[in-house]
Amino acid sequence: MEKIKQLWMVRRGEFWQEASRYLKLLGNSGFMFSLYILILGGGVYYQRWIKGLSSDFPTEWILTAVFGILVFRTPLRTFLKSADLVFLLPVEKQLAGYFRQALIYNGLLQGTSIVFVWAIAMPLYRHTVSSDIMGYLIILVLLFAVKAWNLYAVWQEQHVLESTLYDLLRGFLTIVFIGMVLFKTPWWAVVIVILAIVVLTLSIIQPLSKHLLKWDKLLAGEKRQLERFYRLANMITDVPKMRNRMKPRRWLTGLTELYGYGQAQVFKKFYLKTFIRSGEYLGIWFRLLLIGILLMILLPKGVTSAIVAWVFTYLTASQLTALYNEYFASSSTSFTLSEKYLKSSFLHIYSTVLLVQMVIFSLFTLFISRSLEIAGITLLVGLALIYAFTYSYVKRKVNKTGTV
Amino acid sequence: MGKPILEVEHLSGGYSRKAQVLHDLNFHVNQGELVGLVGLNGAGKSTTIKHILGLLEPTEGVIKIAGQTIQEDADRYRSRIGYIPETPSLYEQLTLSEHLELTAMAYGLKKEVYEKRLPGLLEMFQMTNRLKWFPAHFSKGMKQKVMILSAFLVEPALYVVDEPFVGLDPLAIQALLDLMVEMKEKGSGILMSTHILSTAEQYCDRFILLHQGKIAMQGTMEELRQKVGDPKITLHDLYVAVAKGEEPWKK
Repeated sequence: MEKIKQLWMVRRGEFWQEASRYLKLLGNSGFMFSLYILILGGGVYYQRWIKGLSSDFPTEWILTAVFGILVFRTPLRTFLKSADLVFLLPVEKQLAGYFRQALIYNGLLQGTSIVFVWAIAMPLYRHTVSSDIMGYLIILVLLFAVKAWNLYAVWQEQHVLESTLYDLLRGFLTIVFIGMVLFKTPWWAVVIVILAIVVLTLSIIQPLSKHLLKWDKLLAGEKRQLERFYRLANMITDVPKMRNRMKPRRWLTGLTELYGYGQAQVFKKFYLKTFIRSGEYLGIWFRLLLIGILLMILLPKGVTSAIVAWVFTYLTASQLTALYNEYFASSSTSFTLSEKYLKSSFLHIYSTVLLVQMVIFSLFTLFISRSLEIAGITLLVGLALIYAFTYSYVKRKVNKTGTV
Repeated sequence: MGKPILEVEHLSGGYSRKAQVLHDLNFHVNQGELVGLVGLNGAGKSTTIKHILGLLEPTEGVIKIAGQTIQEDADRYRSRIGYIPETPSLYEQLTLSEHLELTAMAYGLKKEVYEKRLPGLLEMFQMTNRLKWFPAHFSKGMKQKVMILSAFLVEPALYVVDEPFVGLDPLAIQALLDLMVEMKEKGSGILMSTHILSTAEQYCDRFILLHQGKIAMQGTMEELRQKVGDPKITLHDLYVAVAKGEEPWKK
């Protein structure tokens, strides 16, 4: 069928259309700028570091570990959707072309990352192992070959649910092969490993396809990959599809008990639990806290710490407003309590978590600057800012639109 | 029979003035009475329920609960309703016990009352061991049970129950029916929409047959049978006739 033949292109297009939206945001955010700085600065430092290395530096071991993992780790993006289980299952046979394209796609993508990392490793390799450019290129080709084998094996493994043993064998042979190539062991040793790979492939891996294709496994893999992407995107922007992710974090549940029992506590408990468990709220709060503290340590001590504290609490504040929208009218709560409670409870929890962050920042300011004055100013001005931001800007926004 | 707990007078409405779904509905639910709301998909059952809950505003007509409209006191009006929706909606981030606590707190239930009512209800629906579970691990039926538990925990004056049996296991269906009878005897009114007509015929005191946004017939089973002049007709046959637009009461 013509439709099925085009399906791969359609699905890939859909994903990249969505991805490009996030990539654009990423490009416009400060993240890219920091990345350039990191690359430029890191590059200079890297070159200087290599010049100081002697030839007994264990480059081979390090590269074996890095490329062993890079080649062995073979996630499969198939762009399958759970509804396909209903609609495409009957035409599995006709999907062979679809899956072949998926494998090529994954191969190209993962091959590109190998090229990148191998390019980064070039100065190190040529300085400490061998400056022979031909050998350097041959290794790259061999890495591609063993990646292709990994991709094939992973695809075959999609026919069985339990594949740990195959993974272990595959990983072992992959790492041994890469190690032997890098250490330039005699050719017959490499041939033995290649023979082992061929035997494993013919005796175990190739026959796996006599089993049925395990769609659930494929779907789970696709879902994992998609989530990784969303998690990445979520670091710079709010990804709607990430909202439902939930972590129980039972060790923090005790905190919510501070609010006790009663009508006035309903939404406070609700919002605190949501903050703790839902989406990325706690993650954002914690990450920004950590980065702030790190900057305090790295930057000159003194007033800078105070500014870092304010800026990072502000960043947290602007990210956390979305918490308000987590409430939706469910069966019972919505019918009994007016919106008045909802808004005031949200503002209460919102300002409280910011306040806690500001207190921690102030404590670190005290540690780092060793000045009670600066820490005190950090805290007092910080609290004033939080209060002002919450009860003017956020409150107005909540009142006006009902959503943030 | 007690006083009316729910009164619907000349209700017309829908999602917008242009697309009216309901046309001049008149009915009531008394205290201690279980009334079945019956109609095809799209007959207007859910829209009627949304109007009663105050999620939609009538273009015409009045809805009163215990003699009060929602305009008079929204919080009191709503706290008299226990609602079991057709599609359970739960918060992914809250456990079963937290959902129930949230409901109890929202309805202003005293803590002692909450703790006294809870164990029996949990046991009736085999949910005792699931208190610490999150909805992600619940089946459709279990989610529905959370809705049922929430509503019966509160023991409101009026239950509004929308198609409650779908997805429930037989034990839970029986438990729900037993509870409805118990609450009825305690004086609550219940409005239940359903397609399970044999159960409805067995348990409901009166019926409202909704067709294309209008009440085609209403009354007790006896009254309905008298109207169509067939003393043996079942609710099922009656409903099929109404649904086909045969207007059996004119025969």
